[in-house]
Amino acid sequence: MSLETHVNSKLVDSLPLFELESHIQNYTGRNAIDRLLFIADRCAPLAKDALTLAIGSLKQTADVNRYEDAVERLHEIAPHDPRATIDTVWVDEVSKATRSTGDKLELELKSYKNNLIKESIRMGNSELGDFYFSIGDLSSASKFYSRQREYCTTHKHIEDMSMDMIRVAVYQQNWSQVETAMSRIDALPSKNSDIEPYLKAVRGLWSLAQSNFALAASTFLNVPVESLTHFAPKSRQKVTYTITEFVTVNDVAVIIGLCSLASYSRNALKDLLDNNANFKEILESEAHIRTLLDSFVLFDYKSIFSTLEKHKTDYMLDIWLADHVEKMFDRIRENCYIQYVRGYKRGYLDKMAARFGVSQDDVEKDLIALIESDKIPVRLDLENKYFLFKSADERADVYDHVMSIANTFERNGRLLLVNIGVLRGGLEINAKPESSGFELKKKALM
Amino acid sequence: MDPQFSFLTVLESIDYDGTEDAVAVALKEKVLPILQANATAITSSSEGSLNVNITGASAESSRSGSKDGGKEGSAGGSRDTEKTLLPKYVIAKKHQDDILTQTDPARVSALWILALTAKFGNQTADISEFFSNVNRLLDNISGAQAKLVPEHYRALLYMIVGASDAIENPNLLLRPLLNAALSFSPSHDMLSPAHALFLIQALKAKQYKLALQLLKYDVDKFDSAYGLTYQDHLRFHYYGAMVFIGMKQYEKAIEYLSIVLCAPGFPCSMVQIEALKKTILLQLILYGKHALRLPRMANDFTSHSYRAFARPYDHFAVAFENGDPTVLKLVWNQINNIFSADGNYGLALHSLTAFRKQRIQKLRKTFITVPMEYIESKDIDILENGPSTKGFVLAMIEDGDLRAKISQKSSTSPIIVVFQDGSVTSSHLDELEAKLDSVRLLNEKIAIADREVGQSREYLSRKLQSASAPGGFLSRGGGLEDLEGYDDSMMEL
Repeated sequence: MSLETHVNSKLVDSLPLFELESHIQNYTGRNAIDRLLFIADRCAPLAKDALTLAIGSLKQTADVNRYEDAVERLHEIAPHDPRATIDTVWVDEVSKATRSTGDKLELELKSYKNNLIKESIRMGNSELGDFYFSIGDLSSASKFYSRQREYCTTHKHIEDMSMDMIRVAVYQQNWSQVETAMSRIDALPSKNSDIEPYLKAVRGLWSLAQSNFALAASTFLNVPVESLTHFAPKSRQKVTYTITEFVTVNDVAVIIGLCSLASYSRNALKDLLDNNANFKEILESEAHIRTLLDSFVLFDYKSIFSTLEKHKTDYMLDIWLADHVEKMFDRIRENCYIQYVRGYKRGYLDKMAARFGVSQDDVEKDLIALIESDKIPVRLDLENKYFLFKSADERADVYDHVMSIANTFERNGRLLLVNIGVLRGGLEINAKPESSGFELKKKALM
Repeated sequence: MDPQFSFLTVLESIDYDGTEDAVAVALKEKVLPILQANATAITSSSEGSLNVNITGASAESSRSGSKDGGKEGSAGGSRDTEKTLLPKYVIAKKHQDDILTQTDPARVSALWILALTAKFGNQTADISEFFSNVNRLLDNISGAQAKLVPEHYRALLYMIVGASDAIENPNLLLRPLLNAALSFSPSHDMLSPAHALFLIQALKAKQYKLALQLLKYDVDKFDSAYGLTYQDHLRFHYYGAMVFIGMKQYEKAIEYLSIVLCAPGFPCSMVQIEALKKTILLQLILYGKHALRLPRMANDFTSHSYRAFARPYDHFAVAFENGDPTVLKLVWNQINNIFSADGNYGLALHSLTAFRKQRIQKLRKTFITVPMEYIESKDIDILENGPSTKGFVLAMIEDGDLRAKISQKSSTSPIIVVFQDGSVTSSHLDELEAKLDSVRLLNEKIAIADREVGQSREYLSRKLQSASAPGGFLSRGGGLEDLEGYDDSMMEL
C-alpha cells in the first residue's frame, strides 16, 4: 500500500454522530485545538467548522504559528470567510509580548546561572519550559524541562520535572520520551499517589498507540472513574495534571470497550461487566459500548458489527483511536469468530454466516485465514460446509514427541562420538600455512 | 648370504595362520628391517617413483621423506621415526616381481603395497597389469598390514583413482576399493584412506547402492597416523551425504553434513561451506524451513564464516519460509545460476517441488474436505513445467506424501479431496522400538568413548596439572612416569 492510499484510507467523508461544537466542549486547552485540527484534516465535511472553532480557540492562546497555519488552511477551503484572513494586529501584539517575555526569562536564567543558585536555575528552566509550551513550541519546552534535571535536589523536583516532560511528550506522541520519564518516576522511593491515575492513563494511551489492545484495556480499567470526572488535585499552581486534558470519561469507555472486545474472551468480559464496579461506572457515560459488550456476551454478533459500523466515523475522528480503528475492527471480528467456534464440536457455515450477518463465502474466507494463522483450532469441510473442532490425538502426539527426542539424541550423540574420534585421532581442521583449510577448491570436490 | 634367499626364507618363516594382527607384527619385525637395509641403494629412484601426481597427500609424504632423509640410520622402535622412514621401504626391482608372482596378497599385503607402488609408480607402467595386480591385492587386502605402510597405501590408492580416471572408467576398481575401505578395521568403524576415494569413484559411477554398503557403517574412529588428514574426514562425510542425497535419504544426508559442519578446528574449510549450502536446501526440502540450526558443537567462528559464504542460500531460505510463491519465484530467477554454479541445481529444483508439496500438505491442517478447485486456485508451480494441480495431488497421494482420497459424487460434480487422519499403528511402534534400541547402543558407545578419553594421556596430564595446583597432593609428573610416552592409539597396531 502506498503512503498516499494509506493516508486516504483514514479520511472520513461521512458525518459523525456527534455535534462538533458540543463534542469539543468536553475538551480544553491544547487538546481541544489538536482535536479540532485533527478533525479538519480527516473529515472534509467538518473541516470548515472545525477550523473556525480552532481559530477562535487559538486566539485565546499565544500560539501564533498554529494560528497562522489554521487561517491559511481555512483560506484554502473558504477564501471568503471573514476569519480566513490573518489578524495582523493581534499577531504583532502577541509576538511582541511573547518575545519580550522570552527575552526576560532567558536573561533571568542567565543571571541565575552566574550566581550558581541551583534552585533558581531549576525554576528558571521550568518557567522557560512553561513559556515555550504556552506559545506552542513543544520541542523547546521539552528541552528546557529536561535541563532542570541536574538542578533537581529533591524527589519532588524530579517528579515535577518528569510530569512536565510526560505531558509534553504525550502531546508530541513521543512515546520513548514518555517511557524514560515514567521510569524515572518509578525509580523514586516515594511518589505522590495523586499522580497515579494520570500515569496509568498515559500508559494506557501508550499501549493503545502500540496496538497492544489487551494491555490498553487492562490499564485503563485501573484508572479510577473519579479521576476521569473530576479535576485532579493541583500539584502546582500553574499547571494541573489532569487526565481529562487528554481523554474524557466517554473516550475511556470507548477505548476500554473496543480494546476488550478485541482481546478478551467472553468469560473475561462477562466477569468484567458483572464485577468491576469502576468499569460499570465508566460505562454509564457511553450507552452504546454497554450494548456492544452485552451483545458480545449474548453471542449477538450481528448487532455488534452494525453498532460498530454506525459509530465508525466517530472513532475515526478521535485523535487516539483513529489510526487503530481498522485493526481493532479486524481483531474484534476475529475474536467473535473465536468465541463462536469455541462452543461447537461441529458447526455449519450457513448458520454461522447468518449469525454474523455476512455471506457464507466471507465466513469461509475469514475462517481459513484464522485457521492458517493458528488462531482457531478447527478444520473445514468445504464439501459439506461445516467446521469440526480439532481433537488432539494424544497418542500420535506422544509418539511424535518421543521420536523427535530420540532423533535429536541420536544425532547429537553421533556428532559427539565422531568429534571425540576426530580430536583423538588428530584430524581437527588446522590452518597450517602450507595447507590452509581453504585449499580445497571446488574442482577437487566435484 | 644372498639377500633374495634370506628375504623369501624369512617370508616363508612367518606363521600366516595366526591372527591378522600377529602376522602384521611379524612382518613389521622380521621383513621390513631387511627391506630397509636394502633400501639405501635405491633411494634416489624411489623418490621419483613415489611422486604420484594426484593430490597434495602423496606429495606431502614424499616431502617429509626427503626432509628427514638424514635421520635414516637411526631407526628406533618409536612410531615417529618409523613413520618418516617408511617411504624408504622401497623394494628393489628383483624383489618386486618375486612378491607379485610368488606370494599371496592376502598374506603379505604390506609387501604387495610396497611392490606395486614401486613398480607402477612411474607414468609408463603397463596399466592393464597394474589393474590386474591391484584387483588381486584389494580383493584380499589385510587392513592390519595396510596400516604398516600407510604412506605407500595412500599413494597406491591415489594411483588407482588416477588410473581409473585416466581411462575414464570409475566403475573398474569400485568393488576392490570398497573392499579396501571395509577391510581397514574389522568393525568397519575406522576411517581409512580408501573411504573418501571410494565414495568419489562411486559418485562418479553413480553407484549409490554400492556406496551404501560402506555407508551403512558409521565411522567414528580416526587416526592421523595412517596418513589421514582432516580433509579425508570432511570429504568422506561430505561425499557420503551426496550419496544419501542421490538415494533421496535426506535425513541421513543432513546427519552427515552436520558432522562436516561441526568438525572441530579452525578456520573453516571450503568443504564445510559447500556442506552448509546443501544443508540449507535439504532442510527446506524436509522441514520447509531453515533456521540455520547449526548443532551446538559448531564453533562460533565457523558458523560466522558460513553465513558470509552462503548468503544467497539464506535469501532463498527466507523466501521459501515466507511461503509466498511470487517472492520465491523472484528470488529463484535471481539466484538459480548460483545454484547451478555450485552444482546444487538439482537439489534446488527439488526444493521447489517440495515447496509446492508443502503448500498442499499444509491444507490438511485447515480442511477435512476441500474441492480440487480450491487447491487449483492456491497451487502455484514456480517453474511452470510440472504436472497440473490434479496430477500433482494424485501423484502425492500415490507416493504417500498426502494421506487423502479423491471423491466425486457423480461424473459431473466437483472433485473433492478428503483428507484422512493418521493414527499410531503397530508399524509405528516397531519403528519406535528400533529407534530406542539404537539410542541404547549409542549410549553405550558414548560411555565407552568417555571412559577412553578419561584414560587418555592428554586428559590425565591435564588432570594432573590441576591436581598439582597448591593444595594438590600430587606434584607435577609425580607418580605417572610410567605413562610417559604412552599413547593408547599404539595399542591398536
